Amino acid sequence: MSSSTAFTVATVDTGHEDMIHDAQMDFLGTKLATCSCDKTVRVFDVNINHGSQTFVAELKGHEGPVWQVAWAHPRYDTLLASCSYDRKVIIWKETTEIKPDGKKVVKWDASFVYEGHDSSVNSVCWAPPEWGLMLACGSSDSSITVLSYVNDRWVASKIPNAHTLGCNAVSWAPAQAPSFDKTNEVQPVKRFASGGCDNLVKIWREENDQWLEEVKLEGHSDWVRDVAWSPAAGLTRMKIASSSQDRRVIIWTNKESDGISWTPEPLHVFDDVVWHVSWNFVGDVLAVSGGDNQVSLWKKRETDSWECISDSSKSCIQNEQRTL
Amino acid sequence: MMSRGEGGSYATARSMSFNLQDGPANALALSKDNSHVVVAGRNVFKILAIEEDCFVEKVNLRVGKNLNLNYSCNDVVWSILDENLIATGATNGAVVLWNLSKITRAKQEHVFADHQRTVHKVVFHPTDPFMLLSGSQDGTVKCFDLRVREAKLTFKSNSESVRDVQFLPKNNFSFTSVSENGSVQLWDVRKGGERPFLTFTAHSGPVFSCDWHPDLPNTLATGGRDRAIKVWTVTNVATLDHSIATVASVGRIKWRPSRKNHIGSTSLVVDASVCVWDVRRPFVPFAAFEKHKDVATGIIWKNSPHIFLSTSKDCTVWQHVFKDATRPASKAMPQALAVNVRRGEIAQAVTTYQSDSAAPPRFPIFNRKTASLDEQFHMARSLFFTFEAGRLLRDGFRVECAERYTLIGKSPQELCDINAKIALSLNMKSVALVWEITKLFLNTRITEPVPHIETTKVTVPTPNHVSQAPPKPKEDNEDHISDDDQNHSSSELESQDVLGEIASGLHMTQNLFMSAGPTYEFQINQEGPVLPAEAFQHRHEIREGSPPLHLEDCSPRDVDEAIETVAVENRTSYLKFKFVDPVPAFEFSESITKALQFHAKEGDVQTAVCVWLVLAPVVKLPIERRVLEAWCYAYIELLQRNRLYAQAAVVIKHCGVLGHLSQESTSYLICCGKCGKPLTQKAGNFCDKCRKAVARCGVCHMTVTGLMSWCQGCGHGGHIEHLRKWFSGHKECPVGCGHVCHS
Repeated sequence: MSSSTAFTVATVDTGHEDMIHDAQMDFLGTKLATCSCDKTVRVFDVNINHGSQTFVAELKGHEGPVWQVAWAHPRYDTLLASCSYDRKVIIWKETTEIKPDGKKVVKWDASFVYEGHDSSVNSVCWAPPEWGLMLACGSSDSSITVLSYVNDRWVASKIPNAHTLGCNAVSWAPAQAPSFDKTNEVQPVKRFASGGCDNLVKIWREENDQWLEEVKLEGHSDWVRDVAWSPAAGLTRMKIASSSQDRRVIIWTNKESDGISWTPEPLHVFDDVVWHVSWNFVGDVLAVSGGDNQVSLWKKRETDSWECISDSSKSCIQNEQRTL
Repeated sequence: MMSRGEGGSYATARSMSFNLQDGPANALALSKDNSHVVVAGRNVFKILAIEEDCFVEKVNLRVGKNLNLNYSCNDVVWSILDENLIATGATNGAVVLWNLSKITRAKQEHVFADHQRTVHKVVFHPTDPFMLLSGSQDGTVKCFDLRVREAKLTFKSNSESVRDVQFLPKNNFSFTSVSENGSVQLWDVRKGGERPFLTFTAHSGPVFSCDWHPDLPNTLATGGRDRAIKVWTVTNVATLDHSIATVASVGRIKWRPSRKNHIGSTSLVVDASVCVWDVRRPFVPFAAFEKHKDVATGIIWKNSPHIFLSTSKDCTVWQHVFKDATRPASKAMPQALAVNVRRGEIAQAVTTYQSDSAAPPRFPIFNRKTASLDEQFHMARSLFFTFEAGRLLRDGFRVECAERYTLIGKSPQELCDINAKIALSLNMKSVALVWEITKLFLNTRITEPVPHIETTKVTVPTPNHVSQAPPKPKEDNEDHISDDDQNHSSSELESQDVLGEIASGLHMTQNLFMSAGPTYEFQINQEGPVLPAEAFQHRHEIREGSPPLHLEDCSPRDVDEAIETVAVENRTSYLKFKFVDPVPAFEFSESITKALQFHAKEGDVQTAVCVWLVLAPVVKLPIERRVLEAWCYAYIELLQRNRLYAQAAVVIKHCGVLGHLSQESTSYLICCGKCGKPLTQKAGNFCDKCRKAVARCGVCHMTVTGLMSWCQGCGHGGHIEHLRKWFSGHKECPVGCGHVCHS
């Protein structure tokens, strides 16, 4: 399996005037949102058969570069959250208006603007739909805000000093089913992970409407740029992937499923900063995007080592293990 | 880092601040040799010495008995030619000259009271020591001759307010003024104050600041309330070269010395940081200085591209050093990565530092950094790609499978067979194999032994097919029986009319049934109580003349002994069996469990969940409930992502562990059947509008609590018993609405 597969590549003209900082597909894979330094968010319809993108809307409302976007679960209508250098978090809502002549007009409006941060907001992530509408926002002012929609209002719960020097990424743990097994009743726990400029990955747990720091994961030697909690946690074990400017990706595994004891496992040392990590839906393949502009896919093998199963540069077979 | 001659001692300079205490400052100006700074505001007017690592207050100019509005400064400027000369623009419209060489404590030299309203800007002529310009809220610019101490010329801008005036560099006679109506005007002092020689509209809304590029000829920058810094080439006409979009209204702008494309700016509101922009990168500042707590009001470069001073509404003066700046762009994520689960596609946006040649490069892209970081800054472009990585990302989920798999409604063996074929037709060999093996294992399933010989009744609906027998899963068929064998056996069965073939393995009988067409009751029975045919404690091959192939633990002797009598009697079969030596039960559930766990681990929850679902009615696999829940969750999410809601509902309904999911997102509203008014929880089943309890029985007219039955046609109903009684004698609605409910 070490033979790498070449990708088929298609270039897409997004129409952005500057650097694109984030792109996200929605739950159904039919919508794509991109955000850019040019202060705009652009929404595209994805044709599920051909994969072609059609431009739908440009969302203007931010006054600075837009760093990240996140789609809410479709059970809460079509909501898109975006965060920006202008310290704002905007929640956009799509509404469809049917004109008298029967034409459908899709409109995007800012349904909520959160302005409670004192510095650039770097990351937004929606909680699993089981928790309701809930959004975590990580900011350069070192705090994290959890916004939740309660009784038709957005309520903010702030975690001050979450990461000194700033928080770069947030990612929610999947919701675990409330077990009906009476002998082993597990209360569902709301958790999310965050990564910041203090080189740390932290895990937060909600307790009595308060967010507590559950555990602090030390392992990176430079800014943590992205964290990704693997979906379907119960499938195997709870896993978190973190990528950093120290060129490493670390997979943190929670063997006891207690949320406290996490074992780090280095995935690979890359040649450049690793910007993004992203799991596939069952959490067995990790997509890694690094400073060399390559995407590679990694999968855990029986031997418990991580193997690069595909790389966007054809020549790459990076399956040797390197030690930290 | 520092080039020689750029002034200041950059290597040793550090960021430092000074608290003015007396109040916020509006402006600041440097002395000619950059050793001192004068800071002015409504309640503050001080000269500070700039030491190596701190500011030291030297002179407080706000002294004297009569601290009138002349001391309330909007702007301050230090003469370039006479280091003792300072001019301020006051909020009351006065332009005040200060002479530092005065021996008295009060240094006020002269007050020009020519302006009617606030003076926003004062500026000395770069070469003529006696010429001073002032721009005011009264819409005029006045030119003062310091020798005669009077306003020599008045330039009427034809607008409400002049916000900034600047002399053109290397031109002794021209200056620009910007005003609140958004226009920029160029004047020639020699031509007098009637008309500007060039006027153009630069911003929508007020222009607050302008600055000529110190080195580039004819390059003017303007900043306005429309949150833009615009860079113009001004000759006979003005052409827009760049437009920078700032976070907030622009207060002050100042070109960075020795840098062609860099300009510093402060915001009028909201943003307390001082930003330095590269005009070619209009959306993100090149550097940001975030020391101030409130908006900065003044900015001045200390004759060096690396050091500047700023003052702010937070009552401080800061010296900023470039090495302490934050670089927002360096913090920015230069890449985007999105995974499309549904299409198995990855979208990636990457930043390339190529100059404008935006031809789509061949993939893979290798762009080694060659240009310096500063030079690279403006060249960032994003390229957006999508990659097909389908198989790798979607491994273990096929939409076709999800759509075509049959999970309920047939016997497990049949389902396995159907699904195996589906998998095979989609070229999923390993999955097809799992289904096949599951089927074979099912055939071998051993249930609790029934201790004595029994008879059973098998209904055979079609008389010409007498040989159908319950496909009892009894045989340890570990291998496929070839098609030949099956054909042979079925013909044999038909010819012999003997039901004794029943034990010859499901594989065969099932095929036979399928060819025969009809479905049989026993298939349902099989899921219910244990049928006598399952009474075998051991598996047998009872078909005469065709002993099973490859059966390792089934000897011909067993076969012979297995049958005692089999009788067929008029659609009713009587089976009679005799026990033979028990063969140890083959425990297959563990193997299947392992197979499913393997598939799940490989990401193929589809196979895991589907096989488990098919087996669930007959076999309980030793899989932890928690694990199973996770599998089902994952599979349901996948189905939902692909909009296969019907299939997801099947899984939710039959998986048995996620029953609560089907109760989620279901809400019902109750309203009065008579008037349609929604019932509130508070009132229970009492309608406020009708003033009556709803849900009344149409027969007894009492409120129904508990089960209620009603007609879907007219909506009337009542107690089930009452209705039953009523409709035994009537066809119409008991209420009398005329609806024929019982037709």
